[in-house]
Amino acid sequence: MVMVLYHDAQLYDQDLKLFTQNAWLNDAAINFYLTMIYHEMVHGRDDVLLMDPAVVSCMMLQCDDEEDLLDLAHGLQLQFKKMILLPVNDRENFDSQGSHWALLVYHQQTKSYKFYDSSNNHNLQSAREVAQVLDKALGTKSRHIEIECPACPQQRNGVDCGMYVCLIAEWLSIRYATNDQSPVETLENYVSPQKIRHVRKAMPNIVASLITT
Amino acid sequence: MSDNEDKVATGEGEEKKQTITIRVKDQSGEETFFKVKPHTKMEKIFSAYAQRKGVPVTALRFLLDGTRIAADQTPKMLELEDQDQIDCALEQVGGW
Repeated sequence: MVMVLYHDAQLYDQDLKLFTQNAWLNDAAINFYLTMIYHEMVHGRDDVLLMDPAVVSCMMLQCDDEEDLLDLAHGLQLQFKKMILLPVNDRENFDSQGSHWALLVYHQQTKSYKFYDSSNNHNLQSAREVAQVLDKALGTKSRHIEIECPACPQQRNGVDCGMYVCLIAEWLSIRYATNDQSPVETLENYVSPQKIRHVRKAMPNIVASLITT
Repeated sequence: MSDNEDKVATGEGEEKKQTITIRVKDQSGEETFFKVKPHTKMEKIFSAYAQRKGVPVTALRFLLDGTRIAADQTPKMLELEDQDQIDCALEQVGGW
């Protein structure tokens, strides 16, 4: 059981294989990728948060009262984040593991939410629930939350939603960090099936290069 | 019992022996208690917990106030106090 530790992201051998074997991604694989975006592509800026999917899940299922939520908000320094990216799973309770990933994005300046789902907004309801809890954690007054759904590349198979979440998060984060200068490609062109195949295959090398530098 | 009192009295050596109880809360709200020493690596708790739950440790994520706890951290490093709670989240997956 080999484990890689990169900042605070843990990746077991079996998690890494999910990329190369064209399998469904789990939260550890996604968290590893998001951690890489944070440190390698937006250089650890403290106004961006790419939330660990396990933390999203914890926030949804384990924060029973306001105090728990405030502890979490404090631990993550939520009030200083201009942009928060939250991978949303359709898992509804602790008995299931879920089946689909999508990405919810919070913009502090406008207190608004955008939602990117590679499968026809399958997770929109879950995203609404996450938005409600995040609002609470941020101390936002109770309100009707509008979630905007910009055009999002759509997956053409039954395995890649986690890859879409990773690459959409990558595009959004780099755009944010470069004031929209790069990537020059549109989201649709950036997150292509070819790119997904390429990244899946390249992950073992990417991981190796990250932990040796 | 009298052990505890001894540790308090002996100063320096006391801390090593002093045990605290850590509560691990799962996603159904169930809590499991572990008595640990301040310098015990958290991985010991993780594997004991996984074994008790009958789940591979690779499918469990342990969190403290929204941040991941690493296997080689200790209660002391995490500033955990007696009766403090950590959360355990289960693996999530998705594809289609």
